[in-house]
Amino acid sequence: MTREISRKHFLQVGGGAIAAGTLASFLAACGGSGSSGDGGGMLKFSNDKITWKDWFVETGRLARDAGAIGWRPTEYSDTTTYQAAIKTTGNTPKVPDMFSWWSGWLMKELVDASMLADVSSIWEREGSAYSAGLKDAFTFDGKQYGVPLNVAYWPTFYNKRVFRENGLEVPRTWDEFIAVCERLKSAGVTPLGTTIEARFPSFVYFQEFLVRTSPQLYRDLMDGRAKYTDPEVVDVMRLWGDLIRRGYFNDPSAVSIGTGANNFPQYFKPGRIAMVTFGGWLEPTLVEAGMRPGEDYGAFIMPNIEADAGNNLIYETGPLCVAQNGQRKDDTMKAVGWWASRDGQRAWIEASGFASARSDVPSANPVDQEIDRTITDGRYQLLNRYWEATPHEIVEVGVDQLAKFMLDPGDPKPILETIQKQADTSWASVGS
Amino acid sequence: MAAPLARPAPAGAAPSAPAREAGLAPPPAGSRRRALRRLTPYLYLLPMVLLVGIFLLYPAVKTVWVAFTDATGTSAGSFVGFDNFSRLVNDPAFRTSVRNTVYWVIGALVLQVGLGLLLALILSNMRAGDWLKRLFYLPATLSGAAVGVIWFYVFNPDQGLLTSFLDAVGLESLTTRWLADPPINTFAMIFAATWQGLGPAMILFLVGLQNLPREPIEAARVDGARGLRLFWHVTLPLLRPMSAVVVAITLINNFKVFDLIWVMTQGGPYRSSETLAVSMYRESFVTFAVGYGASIAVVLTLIVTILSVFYLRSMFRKVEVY
Repeated sequence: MTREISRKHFLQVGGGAIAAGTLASFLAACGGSGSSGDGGGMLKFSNDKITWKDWFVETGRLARDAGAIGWRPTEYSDTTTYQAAIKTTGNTPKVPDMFSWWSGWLMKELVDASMLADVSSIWEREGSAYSAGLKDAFTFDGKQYGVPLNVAYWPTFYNKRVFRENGLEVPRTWDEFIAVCERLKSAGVTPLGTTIEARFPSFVYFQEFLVRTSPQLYRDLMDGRAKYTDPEVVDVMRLWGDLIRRGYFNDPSAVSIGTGANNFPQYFKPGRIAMVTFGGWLEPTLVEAGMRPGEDYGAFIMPNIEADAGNNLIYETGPLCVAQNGQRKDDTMKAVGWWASRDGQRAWIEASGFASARSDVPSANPVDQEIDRTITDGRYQLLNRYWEATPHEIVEVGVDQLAKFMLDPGDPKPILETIQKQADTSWASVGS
Repeated sequence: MAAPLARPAPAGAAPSAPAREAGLAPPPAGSRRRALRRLTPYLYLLPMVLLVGIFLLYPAVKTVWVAFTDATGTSAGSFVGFDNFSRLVNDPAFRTSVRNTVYWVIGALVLQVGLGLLLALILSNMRAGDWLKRLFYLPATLSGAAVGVIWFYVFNPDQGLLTSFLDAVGLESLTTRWLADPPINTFAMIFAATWQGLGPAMILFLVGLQNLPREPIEAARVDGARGLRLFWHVTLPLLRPMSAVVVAITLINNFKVFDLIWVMTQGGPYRSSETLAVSMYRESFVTFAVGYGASIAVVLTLIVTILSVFYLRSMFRKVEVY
């Protein structure tokens, strides 16, 4: 007996199946969508800081009350999608009026593509209240292309109760720091929090240990004057690997650290992990989990590995940019001018609880105020973090390779050789 | 056959064709109506042709062009010949990506199609089958991203459901960093995808089983065929139209798998769980090597097209049932 499968039969069966599948996907997608309300004459303000939405809405309202034009935030939950959206619309009228971005090499790319408006006039008016280092992060060929959206220092946060219960003090030297880690480990507490989740955080301890060894080596490496394969860099990696093998860090694939959906407070609050070196924007996550700044957690700057490394601290700053091709550029300049003003920054710091970028606006919480004091009193040099300090092609390969090392801390040389290979290519194309 | 002879135009008739072409005289009303009638079907087609042209064909052709350039997110780039394709051959991340894609396709064929068929066979003979098939279909109503989030937590090596379960039953030695160690991370995600993809495959096979002609099966039974033999020589060949659909859909879906991986591992750690679709996205929209990303898209499209054509051709043959 024979039976023939005709194209028609196939299409009938297949078409029905595909239509059913498409309908199911459509319904599933509809279930997860949401829309923000219409902001009327408000400016379009895109960003990838999904958990900052309420603070942006609040400051946007205050901006309108103060006579500037307000804004309506549009959040992207995924940084990659966000970058793609801005880059692909940056030279079209579809670009949002204002948007958040990253300083350094990521910003240079948009400046080179003429996507960002010159905001030097705002810096002329407000610049004296900001540190010179901060202005440099947004300066290209003598002009500024953004104002600080946020500033975050990268200290080491610690659980005060865990320190108290184990009779520990904030370490002042590297030996004291190692002693603290040993004490915590013997008490069954993981000394340091770390993660590879979301990819980028693998650079955190690499950059920290480099800066604590030689800030000049860090600068040279970021600018292509030193190589990842240099013996000093290899030594830093060996030290890091040694600390991982000693059990000072948690499993980096189990813990996620950051904002939004992350499980770090579940480890940090009950004292399963005692310390974490991370950006200050982690603090709202800790506060939301019920930890009180200054009482339940504090922060210190990690002691130098080489005693003569000087006073240095990693910081990050992201710009708030005005779209060069936006349809309401003049209104946006006014709005961003208000953001950078004393009133704007006070409103922003009050709403967000972040560290303040302006010297005449105090930080919101005692932990940040203490760091502000330490930086001022100790005349700390601020170093831009790895993500922005070096060309992004190197960063992308770097964070992947460093994650590989964190999971399997063996010989660091193949890891560093792979990053250096990309660095050679990248520096050859941009000109070292 | 001889060509029809042109008849001389009667006096007072419409002007000759050359005169019409020269615009000296309007076309006659009948001819305009005929032309309009000839055009009408094309007018109906026009909206869809435009939509497909603008949103499918143009981007596809443009992608092929971009694959031969060094375009970045902010510049259109210039023509670089086959540079992107030769770079692919030497890129270890691309090789990992191809290997993982093969894992995905084989895993999906074995698990989604194989288990889907097995479940369909079991449930079609069960009294509670109706309820159970609804239960098995339920995950398919979730979006890939939601499934990714759920399984991300299940596979957490410290607090995840799977690790807790293995600890509870005394199998803690089997626990591992499910999403961090290759190739286990890819297998873990294939498992998650099976949880979601099993239901639709099962339903399609159930429909196929219900529509099988009774006569050949009964005839085979009369001849003494039972169990596996009946299934292998009669049921399975009769199910072939539906198998063709299920396998084709599963193949295509798993060649382009993206959302689940992006949510669970973003292709990491260190690019160890990327598939071709994830590599394409990463190169195009993370590192903005858009030309290079487009070359991966071209390779992926070629593989899927060639495989689909060969597979479907082989399935359209006449099927002999013994």
